[in-house]
Amino acid sequence: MDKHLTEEEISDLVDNPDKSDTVGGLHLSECKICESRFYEYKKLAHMTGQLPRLKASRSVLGEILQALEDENDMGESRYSGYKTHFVSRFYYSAVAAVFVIGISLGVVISSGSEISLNNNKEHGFSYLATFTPLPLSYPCDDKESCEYLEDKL
Amino acid sequence: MLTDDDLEYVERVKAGDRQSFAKLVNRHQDRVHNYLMRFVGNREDAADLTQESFLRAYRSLDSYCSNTPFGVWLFSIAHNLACDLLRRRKLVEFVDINLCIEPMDPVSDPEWCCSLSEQLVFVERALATLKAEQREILVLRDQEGMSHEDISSIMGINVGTVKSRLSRSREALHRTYKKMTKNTNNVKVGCTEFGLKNNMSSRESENG
Repeated sequence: MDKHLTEEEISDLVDNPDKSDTVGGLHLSECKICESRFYEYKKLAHMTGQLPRLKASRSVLGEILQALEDENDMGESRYSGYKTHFVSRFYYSAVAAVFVIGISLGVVISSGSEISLNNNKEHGFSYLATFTPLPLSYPCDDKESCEYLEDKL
Repeated sequence: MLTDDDLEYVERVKAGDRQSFAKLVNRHQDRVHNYLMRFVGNREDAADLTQESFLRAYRSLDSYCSNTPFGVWLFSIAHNLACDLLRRRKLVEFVDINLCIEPMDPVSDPEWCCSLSEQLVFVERALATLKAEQREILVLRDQEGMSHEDISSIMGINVGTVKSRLSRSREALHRTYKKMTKNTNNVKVGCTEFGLKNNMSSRESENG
């Protein structure tokens, strides 16, 4: 008897009983110590298989399906929320932009037309060349403002 | 691993039939739960992980390849989730035996205990004292009857490692079991506490 079988060899024989004609299997028939270990391993493997299964709670299926439902609902609302959010943001941005552009255009046009009118009347050249920022509210019938404008031009 | 029917159900789920997924859950939930319960050693964690495993499986069903049996694929998801949990709790490398035994020890349940033979009580106790990875491989091989190749897919290790780890786990179980059976007095007290006294005495009276 050279040496005993390793635990791995015995375990392999437990998993593959058809290997009894191999070197390890032949060794078992000659060595009482290895044979006894082999049967103990085998018995334990068998008993582990006999242990009762710890069953899942019957509510697991319900909980899984519920979680999937919730996930679906959340996904949908998240998507629709995103759409609503996006549309409202776009809407408000567009309104704000139109408002700002409208005011700016209104101011430029109203002041520009006054300037060009004066320019055309007195100097005959484009107001753009001598453009000076004017007060936003420019009352035409205000005497002081008219004098100020005339000085500037 | 119930391959053929599983594949049929998987195809139906992919086509949008949720009821087929419910059938898959029904078929596998006890096995997955038993595996996780013995692996992580805690009832609440096992329940959560079972649920999470199925949810993950459902979400990634499109990536499922039919070369692997559905059960093996599902167990590999469960394995990864359990490893993540144990890693977070640092239990993989440094197993606190007290933490493992106490919550998972089904022997503490009197009804369960009475339904087992004394030898199985020893095995259950011995199994509970092993490291998580040792319990896992023993459950997969000896309780679930999986092949070395399937275990290799689930645990993400090669077949040679599966064999060596399995043999070490068997040796560890064998050693612990032997120690426990030597000290029979302790076990008799344990069984009496858990209600085995009547069973044992009735058997003794039967034997004369």
